[in-house]
Amino acid sequence: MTGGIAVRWARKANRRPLAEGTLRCSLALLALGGGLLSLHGAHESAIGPYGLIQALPVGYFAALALALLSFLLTWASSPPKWHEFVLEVLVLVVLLQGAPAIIESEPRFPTAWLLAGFTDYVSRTGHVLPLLDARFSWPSFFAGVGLLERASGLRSSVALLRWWPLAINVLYLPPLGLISQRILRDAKQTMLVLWLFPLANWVGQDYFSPQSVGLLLYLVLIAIVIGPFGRQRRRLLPWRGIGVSTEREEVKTMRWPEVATLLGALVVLDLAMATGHQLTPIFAVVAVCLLSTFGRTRLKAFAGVMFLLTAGWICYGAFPFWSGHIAAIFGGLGKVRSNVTADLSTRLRGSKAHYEVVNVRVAQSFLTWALGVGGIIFGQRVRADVRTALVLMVTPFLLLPAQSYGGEAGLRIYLFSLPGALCLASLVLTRDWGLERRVVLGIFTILLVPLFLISRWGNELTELVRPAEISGVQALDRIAPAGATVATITPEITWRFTDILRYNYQPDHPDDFAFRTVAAVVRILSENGRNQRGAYVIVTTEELSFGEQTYGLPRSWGPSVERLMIRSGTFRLVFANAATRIYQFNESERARK
Amino acid sequence: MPRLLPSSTDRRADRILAVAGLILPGGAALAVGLGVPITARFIILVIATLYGPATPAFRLACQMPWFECLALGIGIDAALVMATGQGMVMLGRWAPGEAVACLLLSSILVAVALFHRSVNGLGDECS
Repeated sequence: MTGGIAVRWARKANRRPLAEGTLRCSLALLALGGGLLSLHGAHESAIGPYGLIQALPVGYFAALALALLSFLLTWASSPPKWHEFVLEVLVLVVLLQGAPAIIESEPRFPTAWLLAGFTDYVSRTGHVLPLLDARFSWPSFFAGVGLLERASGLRSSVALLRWWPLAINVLYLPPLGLISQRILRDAKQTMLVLWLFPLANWVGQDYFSPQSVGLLLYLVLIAIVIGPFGRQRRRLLPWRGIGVSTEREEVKTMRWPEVATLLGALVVLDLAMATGHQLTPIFAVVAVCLLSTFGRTRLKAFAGVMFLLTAGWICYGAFPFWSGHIAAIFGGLGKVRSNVTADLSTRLRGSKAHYEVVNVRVAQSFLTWALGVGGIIFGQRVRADVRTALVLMVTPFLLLPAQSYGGEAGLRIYLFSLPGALCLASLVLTRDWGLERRVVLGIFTILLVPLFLISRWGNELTELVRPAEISGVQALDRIAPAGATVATITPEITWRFTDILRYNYQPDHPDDFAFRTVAAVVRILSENGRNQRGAYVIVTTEELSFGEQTYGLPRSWGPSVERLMIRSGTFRLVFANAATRIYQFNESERARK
Repeated sequence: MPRLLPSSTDRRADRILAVAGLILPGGAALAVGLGVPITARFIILVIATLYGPATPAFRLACQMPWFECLALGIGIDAALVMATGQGMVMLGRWAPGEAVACLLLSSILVAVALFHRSVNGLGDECS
């Protein structure tokens, strides 16, 4: 009888972990289902000056809370189950990155549409146009996607834009997991890094772009450099350790096929990076060089190979870009202050809401970095490899004395410092603070959710692409003959996704914003010479929102410019829909006046 | 260092990775041949080219756990596609169909070698 009770208890005890696991998975799936359902009920029109967060329904926040609860339960279980965690982190990424994809009628972000146009051009012709745009001087992303697009028969890479951020964010997680595992040597801390990454990555460089793939390649490269080629030398200065057996090396003997495969993989990764993006290979070279200096990798000379490949491509492949822009490349060298100012001044401006969104971004970045610094202090006594994490966190900052990168250096620095910073942050967050760790983590993650939603999707009013804008640009293709000059009144517009060479597009530089008055519009159209094929101005809601949000112009600014354009008699409205107006410029009328 | 992420280093994992390396390129070729809807065809082709040849090659040469092979292999295959496209643009010979066919074929060859090893028992060397 007693034996029977004992057996029943043992069976119950065996069943308990299974039941708990089922509960956790059910919570995650419930969060996914509930979140997706609630997103389908959300309206694009509710997106306001603070972005997507204003359109998100209560059910969505409840779903995120459920996902968080599920993660905390898994994280606290002993030992934590990886398959449950993978499900939970996937649910988190789908909920975070899938929100605009589900709510918005068209794929978001005008630059993504432009890059789709670039990709389609390469896919159709097999050529690049380095004199048209600097990004064509680093074309391997366009060539790679174009290759698959053409081979599969896909007509346009616009089809990829909507779900690209979700897919690429999922792909970041495995190499990031390997890096964190190598640094932290703790399953729970590794899980925490993977959980925090989607919430901390507000930078928005994960749209269809060379940078999005560049980060993936960077993570894979670092995972190999500190993984199979990793080592753990204690001394910073190797020559001081000669003859002393205090070094704790963990070097696995490698056979030649293994070394050859891994080195070949590193070369392919670096080739793709060097020819695919301006900044990523530079971050990678510096990181590998420092990791080698600090004794974290056995690859002593590979940083040199990477440098040669990167410099070689810049000298040879990117010649059309730098031959005319030496000042743009080296002008910021050594000017830390002006580079930082350029970064902040182009961001900290605009409408009140935009300013607040930027402040949230700055706060979130400094919070992450502060936790990283905390990890350096508190991580000294744990078995984690703090030095590798520190190198990965600090390396991107070395860009500051070199370049402002068109006012985007800060964004890239934060993005590339995340793997190291989050590893260090996890050391702080999992430290014994006398509180239940789950409570600390729960509070921190709850804080991160609204921060992420504001900082990541805070510009959505400007970055949202409206269906009427797409139909307006398609109408332009019907109205304006090929070769005509087409101008916008701000650079934020979704166009050039069908044929990048169809028109003489103005402004030709994305940072130009000279079209605040009718006189400026006329000047730009006239400066480009009298175009026999005609000249047109296209005004979209997106352009006007950009002026209001980013430059703090009053709401009346756009309509008043348009009114004045019509009154001047040199512009004639030839098309209008809910979000687009197309004006034809009458050069002869202007000359007559 | 103890492996903290899920790992399976037995012969069965070799076989699964090898079979995936055979099925995915085969599926992609079928999808192109049978004319399935373009979006589906693109997705299948992307999955096949991101899986191989690097994932089975890592398993074959480096004997890493399957998870590491997959995590690193996807990124390396993405780089391989980019480098291939870049090379063709530089050489002025744009032949996407042939290039993708070569990538898929190399994936199949590596997968066959991996399968051969798993059948002949050399997979036991994996540690």
